[in-house]
Amino acid sequence: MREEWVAILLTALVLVAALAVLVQLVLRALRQKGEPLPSLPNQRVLFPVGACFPANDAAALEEALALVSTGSSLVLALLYEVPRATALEQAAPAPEDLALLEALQQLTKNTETVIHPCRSALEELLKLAANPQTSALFVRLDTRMENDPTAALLRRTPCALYLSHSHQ
Amino acid sequence: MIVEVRDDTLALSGHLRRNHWSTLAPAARVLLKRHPEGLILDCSGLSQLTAEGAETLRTAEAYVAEHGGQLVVAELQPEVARTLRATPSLGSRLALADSVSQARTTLGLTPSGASEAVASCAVVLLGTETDAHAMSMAARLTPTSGTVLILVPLSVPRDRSLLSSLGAEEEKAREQVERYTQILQAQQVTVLARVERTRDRARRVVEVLEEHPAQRLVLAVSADTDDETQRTAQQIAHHACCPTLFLQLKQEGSV
Repeated sequence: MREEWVAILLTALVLVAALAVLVQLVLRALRQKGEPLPSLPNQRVLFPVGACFPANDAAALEEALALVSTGSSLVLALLYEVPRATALEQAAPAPEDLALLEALQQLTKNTETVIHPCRSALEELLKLAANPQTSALFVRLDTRMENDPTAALLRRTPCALYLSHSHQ
Repeated sequence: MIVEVRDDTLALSGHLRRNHWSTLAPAARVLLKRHPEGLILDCSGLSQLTAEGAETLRTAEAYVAEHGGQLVVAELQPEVARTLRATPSLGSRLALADSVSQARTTLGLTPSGASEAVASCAVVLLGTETDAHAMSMAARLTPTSGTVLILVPLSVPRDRSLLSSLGAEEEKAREQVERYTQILQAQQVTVLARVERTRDRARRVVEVLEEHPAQRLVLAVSADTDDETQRTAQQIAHHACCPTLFLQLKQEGSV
């Protein structure tokens, strides 16, 4: 009789241990499969264009487009600096900047375009980025830029920021 | 003195002023087990060597020879090389190499885990909530049948050995890698993964990228990420030998 009880107890223990292992495995599998990759901040991505952002070209746009999902939009923002001696409304963008803008517009359909004269392209960009509808800003930097705006962008961008470095 | 194990190499940095063989021995034993051909001592970070410190190399050389291998000392700084040459019966006995890769050639080794293929994308996971966003970027930027290199540098405090496991942190990192590997493999993407224990996360990532070239590196942080991790991410982006895409989220998990 005593041996029977011991056998029952041992069997029960083995069953409980097997059950615990099984539950652990199921939980682990659920944990691994249950969290898909999050979506990126890409509902309305600001893409500055112009002499102040020389690396934001067609190749950079392709990179930005790869991050923007269907249904999201890209805002091409041509920002051109105007000297203080000239009134903003009297200045016109450089023909090569306009040509680039046109070329970029042809690369993608779901695009908005804004053209802003400004005193400082960086300040104007940050102002546009502060628009609550803007989810992210995409800037590619390279050695052609006279003043590296990395630190300012990292510190002051009010929305998500994609910083792409093309040349090291 | 700081000792770091990098693949098939034992790297020494700082000052070597006394016989530190007892510190090196466990790591040397492990490396010799993996590569019986010999042991590479990368001394590029060694800034000072005294005659007493040089005894470490003498003991190491004897130990490796006893186990049928060869000790190759690589990348000695000029001052350190002078001390070594001046040490009786040691300077002429040790095999020296100008670089670690030359040392590997001497021993007939190939870099451990080296891959000929260039990864489409390398992604660095820094142990924050934004790691998932970095993975999202990598998944989006990698074409079908491309390769993603997942790098997880784990910082080991100076009072702990680089050889000892980091316990829960390391286990979590490996689980994370496993999960992301499954997701990427479902997209027909090949995954290479490296979980690395190191004293300097940024430096280690840059080194691994030199061994495993990638077309692009992605990483993500957020405004909430701690200062040390933000600094590490920026250092990686600055020093990496490939184009980088750095995402800074407004706050952790924000979209």
